[in-house]
Amino acid sequence: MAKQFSFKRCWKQSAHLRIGLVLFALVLLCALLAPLLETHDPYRLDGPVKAAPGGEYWLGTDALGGDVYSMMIEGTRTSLKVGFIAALISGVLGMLIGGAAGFIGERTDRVISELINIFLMLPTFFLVLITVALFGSSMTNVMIIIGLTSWPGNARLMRVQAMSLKERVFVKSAEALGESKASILFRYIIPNGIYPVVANTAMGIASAILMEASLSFLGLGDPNIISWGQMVYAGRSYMTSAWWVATFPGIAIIITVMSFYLICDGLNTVLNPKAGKRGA
Amino acid sequence: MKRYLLKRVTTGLLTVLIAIVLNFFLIHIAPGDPIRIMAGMDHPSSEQLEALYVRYGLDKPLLVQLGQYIVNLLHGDFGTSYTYNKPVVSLILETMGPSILLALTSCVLAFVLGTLLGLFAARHQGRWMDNLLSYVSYLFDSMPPFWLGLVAILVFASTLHWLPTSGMVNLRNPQQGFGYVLDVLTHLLLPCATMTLIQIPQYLRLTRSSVTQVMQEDYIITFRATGMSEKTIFRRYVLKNAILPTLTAFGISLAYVVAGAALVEIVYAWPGTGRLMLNAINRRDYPLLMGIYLMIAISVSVITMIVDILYAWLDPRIRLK
Repeated sequence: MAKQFSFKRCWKQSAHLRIGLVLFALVLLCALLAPLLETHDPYRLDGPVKAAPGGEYWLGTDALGGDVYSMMIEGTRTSLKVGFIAALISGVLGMLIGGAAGFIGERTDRVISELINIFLMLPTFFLVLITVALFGSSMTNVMIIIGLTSWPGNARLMRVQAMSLKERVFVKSAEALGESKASILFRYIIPNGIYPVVANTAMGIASAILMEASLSFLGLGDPNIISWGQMVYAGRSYMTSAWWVATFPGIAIIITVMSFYLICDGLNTVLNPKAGKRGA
Repeated sequence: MKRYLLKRVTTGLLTVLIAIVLNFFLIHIAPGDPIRIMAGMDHPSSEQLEALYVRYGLDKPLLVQLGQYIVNLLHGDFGTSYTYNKPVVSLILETMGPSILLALTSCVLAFVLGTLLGLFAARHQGRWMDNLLSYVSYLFDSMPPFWLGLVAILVFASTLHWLPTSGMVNLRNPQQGFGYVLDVLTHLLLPCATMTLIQIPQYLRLTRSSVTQVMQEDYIITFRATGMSEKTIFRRYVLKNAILPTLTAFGISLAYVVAGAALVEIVYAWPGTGRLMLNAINRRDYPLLMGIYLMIAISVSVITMIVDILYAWLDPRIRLK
C-alpha cells in the first residue's frame, strides 16, 4: 500500500483516470477563466425573456432574462467550491478520527469504530437537509454541513490503514526512539495511509456537488449565488416553454460529477490493482 | 450467531438513539428560540408559546427535556404538524403507500436488471460491451435524479404525449377497478423508470466486481483444474457466492423506501412522503420535517439491521469474524 506514488504510472494504467482528469481539467478551466469565458454578466437580468439558444445568447436566456451560458460558467465556480471545501472538511475529519482510532486501538478504537458504523447508517442527505433548513441556507452553511456529515466513510478507510501501518517496522522504530504518539500519527501514519482517502475524497467532491444541487432543487440553496441546482430548480416550471434553462445546467452537473467518479475509480484501480480491476 | 445478533441489535438501537439525540440537539442549537421554531409562526400568541413551553417542558434541564422527548417518541408522538394540524405520524403513514409502491417497484427492477447486466459485463470483461456498460453506468450515476425526471417528462410526456406528466391518477377521469390499476400503472411508468435507471449502476458495478473477485478465488481455480466446465463452475459456484453482496445492497436500498424517491416524487408530483417533505420545507414546518427525518432514520437502521442479520445467517464467515 505504501508503494511509491507515481503520476506517470497512474496515467498509463487507467483509461478512467485519463478521461476523468481531462474532464476535470476542462471544468477547472471554466471555473478559473470564468470572467473571460462569460459573454454576459451572469448576475444581470436584462436580456430578452426565455430567448431560445443561438445568436447572441448561446444557450438561451431564462425567465428573468439571464444568459444561461454565462450563468452556467459562473455555476462551475460554485460547484467546485462546494465540492472541494466540503470534501476537504470531511477528508481531514475522517483522517484524524479514523487515524487516531486505528493507531491507538483497544477501547478508543472500539468506541470510535462503533460511532463510525452508526454515522454510516444515518441517512446523510436528510440530515444535511434538516440542518440546512434549520440553520439557514447560506453557501458557507451548506459546505460546512455537508463536510461535517460525510466524514465517516473516510474515517473507516483511514482506520484500516492506520491499523496495518502501526505494525510496520518504521513505525515500531519511531516508537522505540521515543517519538510521541501524536508525532507518529501525523508524520508516519497519516502521510503513508492517505492514498485511499484521497481517492475517496474525489468521490466525496462528487457527492457534495450532487448534494448541493439537490438542496437547491428543494429550494434550500443560497439565493445570492448562482448554482447549477438552482438553475434547474428555476427552470423546472417552464420545461415545456424553455427547456434549455434546466437542461444545460443538468448536463454541467453530470460532466463534473462524472469526472470525479472516473478519477476516483482510476485511482482505486492504480492504488489497489487486485480489488479494483475494471478492465478499462 | 447469538453473540452476533446481540451485537447487531445493540448497534441498531444505538443508531436510533443517536438519530433522536441529533434531532433533539439540532432544534436546540439552531438559531432562534426552539419554541418559536416548533410554533412555526413569526408572531405566535403568548398563549400558544405558553402551551408549547409546557408541552416540551422547556423550563426543565436539557437532559430532562431529552428524556421527555424520547418518552414522547416511544408513545408514537412525533409532534404535530402545524400546517396540516395533524399528528406527524399519521401524515407520514398516509403518504407512505404511494412512496412504497414507487420505491419498491424501482428497487426490484433495478436489482434484477442491474444484476443481469453486471453478470453480462463480468463474462465479457475487457471487451467493448463491458467498457460501454461501464461508461453508461457512470453517466447515470452522475445524473441528478430530478434532472433525469425533468428531461423524461419533457420528452415522453410533453413532447411525445405518450405518458401523463405527473400525479398518480387522472383526476379528471377517475377510474374504478381494473381501469384504476391501469391508470396508476401508466402514471407509475415514468417515475419508476427514472428511479430504476438511477439505481441500476450500483448493482451492475457490484455484481461485476464481486463475480470478478470470486473468479480469482483458489477454489474456483481448483475446480477449473479438475476439468469442470466453465458453465458449471459459473452457475454452481461463482453465482452463488457473488450474489450475496448484491443482496445486501438491495436490502439497504429497500431501507430508503420511505425517502429514497423523494426528489423523483417531487418532480412527478407523486403523492408520497417526498412531496410531504417538500411541503414541510416550503412552509418551514419543522416538526413535520424532523418527524420525517426520524422516521427515515429509524426505518433505515431497522432494515439494515435485518439485512445484516440475514446476511450473517446466509454467510457464516460474517458472524464468525
